[in-house]
Amino acid sequence: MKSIKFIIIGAILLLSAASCNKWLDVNSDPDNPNNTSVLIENRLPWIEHFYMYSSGVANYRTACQAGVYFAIAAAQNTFSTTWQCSNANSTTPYQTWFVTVSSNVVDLYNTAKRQNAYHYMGVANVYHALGYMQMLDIYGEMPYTEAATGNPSPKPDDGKTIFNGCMDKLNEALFLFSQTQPSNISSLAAGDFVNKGDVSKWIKAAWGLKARYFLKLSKKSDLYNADSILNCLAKGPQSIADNTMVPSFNNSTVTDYLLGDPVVTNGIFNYAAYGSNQRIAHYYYNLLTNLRGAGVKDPRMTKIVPASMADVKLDGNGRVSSFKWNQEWE
Amino acid sequence: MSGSNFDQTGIVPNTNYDKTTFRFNGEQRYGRLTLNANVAYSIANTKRTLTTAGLYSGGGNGSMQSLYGWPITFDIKNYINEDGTQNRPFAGTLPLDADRDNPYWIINKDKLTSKTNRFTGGVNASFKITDWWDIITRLGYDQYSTNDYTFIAPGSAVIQLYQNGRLSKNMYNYNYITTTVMTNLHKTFGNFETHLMLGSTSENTQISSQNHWGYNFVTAGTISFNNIAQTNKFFTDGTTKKRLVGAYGEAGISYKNIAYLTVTGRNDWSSTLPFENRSYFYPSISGSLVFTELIPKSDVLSFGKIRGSWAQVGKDANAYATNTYVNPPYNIGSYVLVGNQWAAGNPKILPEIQDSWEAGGEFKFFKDRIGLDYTYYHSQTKNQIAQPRLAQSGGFIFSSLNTGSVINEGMEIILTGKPIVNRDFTWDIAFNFSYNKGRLGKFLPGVAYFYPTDAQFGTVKAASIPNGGYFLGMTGQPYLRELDKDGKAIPNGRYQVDPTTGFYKLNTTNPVVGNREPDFIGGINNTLNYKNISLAILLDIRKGGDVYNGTEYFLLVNGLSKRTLLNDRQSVTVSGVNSQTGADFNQTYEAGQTYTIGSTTVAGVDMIQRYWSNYAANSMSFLTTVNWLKLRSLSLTYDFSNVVKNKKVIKGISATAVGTNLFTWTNYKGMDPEVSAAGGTGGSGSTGIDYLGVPAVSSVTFGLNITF
Repeated sequence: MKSIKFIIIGAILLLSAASCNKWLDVNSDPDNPNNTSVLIENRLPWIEHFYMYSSGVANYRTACQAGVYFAIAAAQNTFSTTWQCSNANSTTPYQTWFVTVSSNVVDLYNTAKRQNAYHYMGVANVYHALGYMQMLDIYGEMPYTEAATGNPSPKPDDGKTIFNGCMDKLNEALFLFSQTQPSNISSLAAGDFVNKGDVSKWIKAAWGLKARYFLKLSKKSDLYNADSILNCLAKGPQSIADNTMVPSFNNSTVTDYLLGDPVVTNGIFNYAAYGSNQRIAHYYYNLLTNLRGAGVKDPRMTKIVPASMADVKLDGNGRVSSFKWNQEWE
Repeated sequence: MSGSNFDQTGIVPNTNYDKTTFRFNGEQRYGRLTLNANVAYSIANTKRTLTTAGLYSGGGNGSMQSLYGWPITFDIKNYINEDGTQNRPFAGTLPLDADRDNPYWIINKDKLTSKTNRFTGGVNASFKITDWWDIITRLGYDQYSTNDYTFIAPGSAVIQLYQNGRLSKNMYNYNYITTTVMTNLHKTFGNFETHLMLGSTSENTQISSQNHWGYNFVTAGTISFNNIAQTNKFFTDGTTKKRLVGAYGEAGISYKNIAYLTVTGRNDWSSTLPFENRSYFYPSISGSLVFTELIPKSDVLSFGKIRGSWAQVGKDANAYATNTYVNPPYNIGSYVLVGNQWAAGNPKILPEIQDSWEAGGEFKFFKDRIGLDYTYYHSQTKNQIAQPRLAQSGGFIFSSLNTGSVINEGMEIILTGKPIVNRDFTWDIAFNFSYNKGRLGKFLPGVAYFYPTDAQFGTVKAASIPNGGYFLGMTGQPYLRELDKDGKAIPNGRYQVDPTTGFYKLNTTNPVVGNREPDFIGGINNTLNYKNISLAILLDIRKGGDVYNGTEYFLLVNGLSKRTLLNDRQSVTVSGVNSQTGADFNQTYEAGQTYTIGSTTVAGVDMIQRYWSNYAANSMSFLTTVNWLKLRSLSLTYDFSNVVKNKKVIKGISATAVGTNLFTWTNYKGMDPEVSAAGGTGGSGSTGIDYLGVPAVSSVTFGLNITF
């Protein structure tokens, strides 16, 4: 009799414990998807798009340090009369890569791996290499092995680790591109607005990157190998048709993830050519508009030479509807 | 049953707060069962405005910000043209999005309101099973809904996207239900009284919010979402659910009225922690001894008690801290983009436990004419949950982490006395003195400073310094001082001057510049009663604690500070040591002369302006270690009751005059030093930083109290 009482009490306690745990199981935000459930075809275009801000701002600010561009406006910072490009290097190129893109590359790779989406894994690796090699070029030793996974204080790795890690990722990408994805999952084309899912272009892009990265070893006589660079180039893009070209959209509804850029377009145009605070050095301007006195204009000039826009009018949807160029040509 | 209404206009024009409350309390006994119900319902309306800054990411500015910085050569009240557009003094040279709104434009044209309806209620039932055993159950309910309305008028100096008006409506619903079941047993064994209490509580919090916002009103004159194009209207949903179950017990024993000992234990299970860390236990023990009962009676020490306790308290995390969430999707062409938010989830978060002990005593002397209460305490948290700014190379900006420990230790003394006790005249006096030392203990390895809040104004940031540093500290940039032979800075030595700029050199390594926590605070409260008159005077004292005058900084960089009138703006002098050679540097820059800095020739007036920019960049220019003596309140009451002969209708009348915050004597050169800047979110907030706020007010109240 006694044991039945204990059994009943025990059962009630167990039941209440189990239902208690169920009652407490409410810690998942019902309004916001969490990162493990994002589809690979939504994750990849995010990476492809926001990487352009990181590369664009890195290109512009390093060109500023190299004396190609100058900033002329007294910035909102009241303590400087000209903008210090070298100080600015430690902020936006770093933040746009690490906060906006890097954790998404990790999540895309892991999610794609679970589904055997080899092509998505490969493209994730290509962007991994693009981003971390850029960090290596600008900053030298940076967090790499401990980066991008929520570690509050990742330790820096040396240049060798980062270089070798990125090259390994590119080699893995080339292997993955040669595999066939299962037919029941999203094809690369569903999420790739850069190459529209053309795997052969990605393969060529990866070989081209390998060639460029091997050139970084040109001062290390024991590691530099000219033949292997030529070998990579032979497998890289051979003509304009082979190029990986990032399309631009004259969309201007999306403001950049962390900053306030108004126009959705080429990252380099966004930072270099769009605005009234920067000027290009006359030497480079001549190279672009009158190379060797031949009077030939480089067709890319209007996207590289800063022009200040005046009378910018936004339409009802906040898109740029009309503006005037203040520029010296035409 | 009771009702009340409170209506107050703010000191910024067009701001207002009014609140109406109804309350009902009822109790009914049915034999052994006692039922108690209470209900309160309140409606509060606020008319508010932007003060320190404009809306986040929308450009624009706040009314106080604009007021402090308005050029004194323009009439600030002339804010509107005949055609209804804003009268902007710089309309010719500055485009609208680079200009600043006139404060009168903001308070008259923008409309920001909040309305909160709140309902709280509770039902208690207690049942005496026997005379030594009773059981209590409680149900509590708190629900409020707040409707926020924000309208930024067309023609405001905001970013281009919002220059044709912006509207936002936010509905926020908060629901909280708590249930408690407790059972109490008490038994007396001879001179010992014992009691045992066991109970359990559940808490259920649910918050839901909806935000609708849009911009660009198509037809002038109508402020409504119906007047906004479909593509410019947005809405978001938010839900937060949090649940907690706790089980606790308390056992106590006491001997006569002399010694007491109590032990408690509580275990909580929280929904906001991961499953394996969900349960946490925290006990406590406390005791006290009235030792005067054990010693012969004395006229000097009429009562003496010593007490001590040790307690742990557990705390859970915010809801949804364990997962990483993603942003709302973007569209580009036919592609849909989704990426991670910048707050990382922490699937391994642990509960935070605070460990504290305290010891103290209470003593009364000379037949209770003098009383002394003393407490010393020390408390330390373990696995303190915080959201520090992370190294962004981790892929995120924030995460909820178990970061380390926060330590608080201090002392409180209260001394009361009755210097005069007569039939007609009594005088009571109370002194209190306390201090607290807040420190940050261990913290995440590799993090030099912990910024628990967003408060960063002028050149200082509110920061907590790990490994024993100030919890309410500040980092900033001071001038560099002369170095001695070993390369160390000479305290109070001469300043280093950078020969390439001609001005003082700044220490840009972000060192600690101050501590916002006071050394001690205290008060003196005097109450005098003479027949029907009662006078109470409360004085408030504070010593130490740094305050950064960000308002003065803002005035200075805008050329509106009286400090910039030095030498009638005709000359400034820089004197110190050359930072490169160590030689003496003494240079006066005069308006009207020119100076060669490096390879550039600079006009004297430019050098004078650069001097003030350099002066503003030095955090120490605006830091004061503040002491104050405040006449916190003065109140005078006169009881007229004996004037009323016939006590049938009116039983009592009294009149009161109260003044609060009447005088402040302080070494702080700004406004009231009791400040906290708006915009410091979270953590220890922005206490001790003065930045373009609405200052504290003195007030005088007159009241009449009639009892029927």
